[in-house]
Amino acid sequence: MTDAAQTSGGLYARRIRARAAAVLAAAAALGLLLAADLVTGPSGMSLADLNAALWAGPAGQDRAAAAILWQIRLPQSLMAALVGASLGLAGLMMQTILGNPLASPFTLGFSAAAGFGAALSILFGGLWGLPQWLQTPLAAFAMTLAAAALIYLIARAKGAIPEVLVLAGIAVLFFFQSLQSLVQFMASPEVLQQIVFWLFGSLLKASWTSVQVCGAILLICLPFVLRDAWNLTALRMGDANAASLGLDVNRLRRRSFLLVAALTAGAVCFTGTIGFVGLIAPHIARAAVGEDHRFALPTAALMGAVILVAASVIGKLISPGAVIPVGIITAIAGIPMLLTVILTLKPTGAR
Amino acid sequence: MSLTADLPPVFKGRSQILQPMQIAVPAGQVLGVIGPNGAGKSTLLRSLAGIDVLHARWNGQPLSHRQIGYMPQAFQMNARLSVLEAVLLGKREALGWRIATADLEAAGAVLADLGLAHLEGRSMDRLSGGQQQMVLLAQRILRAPRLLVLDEPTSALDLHHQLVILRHLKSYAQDKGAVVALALHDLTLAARFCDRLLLIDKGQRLVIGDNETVLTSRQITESWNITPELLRARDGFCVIVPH
Repeated sequence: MTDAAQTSGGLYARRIRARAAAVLAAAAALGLLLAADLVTGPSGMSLADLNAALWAGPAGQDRAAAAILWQIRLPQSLMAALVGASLGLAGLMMQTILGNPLASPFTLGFSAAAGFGAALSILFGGLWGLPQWLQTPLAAFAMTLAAAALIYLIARAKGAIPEVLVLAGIAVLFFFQSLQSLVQFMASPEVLQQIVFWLFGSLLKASWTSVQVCGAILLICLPFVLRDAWNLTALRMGDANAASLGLDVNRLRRRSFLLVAALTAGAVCFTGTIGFVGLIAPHIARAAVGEDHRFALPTAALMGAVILVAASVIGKLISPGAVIPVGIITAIAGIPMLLTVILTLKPTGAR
Repeated sequence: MSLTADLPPVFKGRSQILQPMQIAVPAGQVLGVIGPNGAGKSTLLRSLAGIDVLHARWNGQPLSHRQIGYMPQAFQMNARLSVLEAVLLGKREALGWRIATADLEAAGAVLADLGLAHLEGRSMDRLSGGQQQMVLLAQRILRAPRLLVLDEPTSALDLHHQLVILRHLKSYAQDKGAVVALALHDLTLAARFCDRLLLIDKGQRLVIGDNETVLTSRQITESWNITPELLRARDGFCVIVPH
């Protein structure tokens, strides 16, 4: 028996080391991609200029270089990483609590709600004396939380089982999508163009404010997410098994769901809908480190950031002089990834 | 020392699927719940395990969730978790960012006891239904519950592993002074490994008692609609041959 115990200790330690290495590799990849993102852009700044501007700080001598780096590229790169991390984390939680590999942060209609909030704000322009750049994200954020509250109340009444959550989510999705269409229908062509541009999902809207808000939400949510790492892992054994391990499955789902809502709202309210990151990142994380959520959660966050920063680099490289919105890049690149996921999924009951 | 439970009626919609029932089992015994399909065995076990409301008492004191281990019927799960991790989840409340060596060793020891040491590093989604079932059992045993409630723990197992598991459960009950309640379809195995049997049909308790009292030709014919032949094995246990 001691022999068996010793081998399990050794085997387990090796496995843990391999996973930690995977997490570190993802973090290193993110670092490299962030550097690549900073040096690419329509202005064609040289590496030397950038390096100088970086060390000179926001108040550097070379005003143009300082403005490009500190006002445009750095906030955009950081925003890409933060939004990607939020969506990757929210995506893994969503797939775990719904027990569905095709779920994403947007499955429950959060993106449609955010889009409706933004469209409404753009249509009515500056209301309460708020500047438009602040009012639209606020409206998108508020509407996402409203959608979340709606689903939460349904889940409280009917039990937070995946079927209820998904059906309620579909209802919310169609509800906000039709409201969004209504706003678009009523809008003038100029306003309509603005709404459509918002919906694209682009990092051009990033600013230091958005970085701070999105970063703060991620930082606040993270400890709560990580505290449930083992509970989320237990949920993968099935509801009945998790419940018999003394876990309150309904409460865990509701709690996780609110965190997903906050993370998603924080991610999309400034940048618009960026699809597929929250769907694909969890799959890469699971393939790399398995479903021990102590490792899967950080890896999904890192992979989300990696994907979005990579999309940002690609968006700047494809057409010199222009920046293609990342939402479009992730959607195009996401389709083959999604197909790969579908084709490698094992049919239920297969060994 | 004994387990008692005063189970209330259970309704599904408007129809009553389980009548109120009183159950008493002395510590150290295995209670077999038998009955035809749809008799209410799973409902009864869920109720006994206190999935929704706790009913079980130990020496008159209510048992907590932590002291009850419940294993639902087998289903194929696709978790990408190693067998060792799946068993470790039995210590869910105690797990932190670092896993204590003692917990790792305890999980490895339970696996070894059940003859599953070779599966340790395998991923749960690569196991057969029967192997998954045994891993889940190891997980429950790691929790060391006073009352272990198992819904058809042998349904996906070959004959050899059915014997391994049932022997293990019997000695678990005896060594720990615990009570094991399990649903079984194989009456011969029930006669061999259970100390007491509870026969139910249509949500109703027909009879509870020792194996001789419950497994009579008349009872078996009435409940299962078969004509059994009751033989006696060399070691004295009852063998039921269906006709």
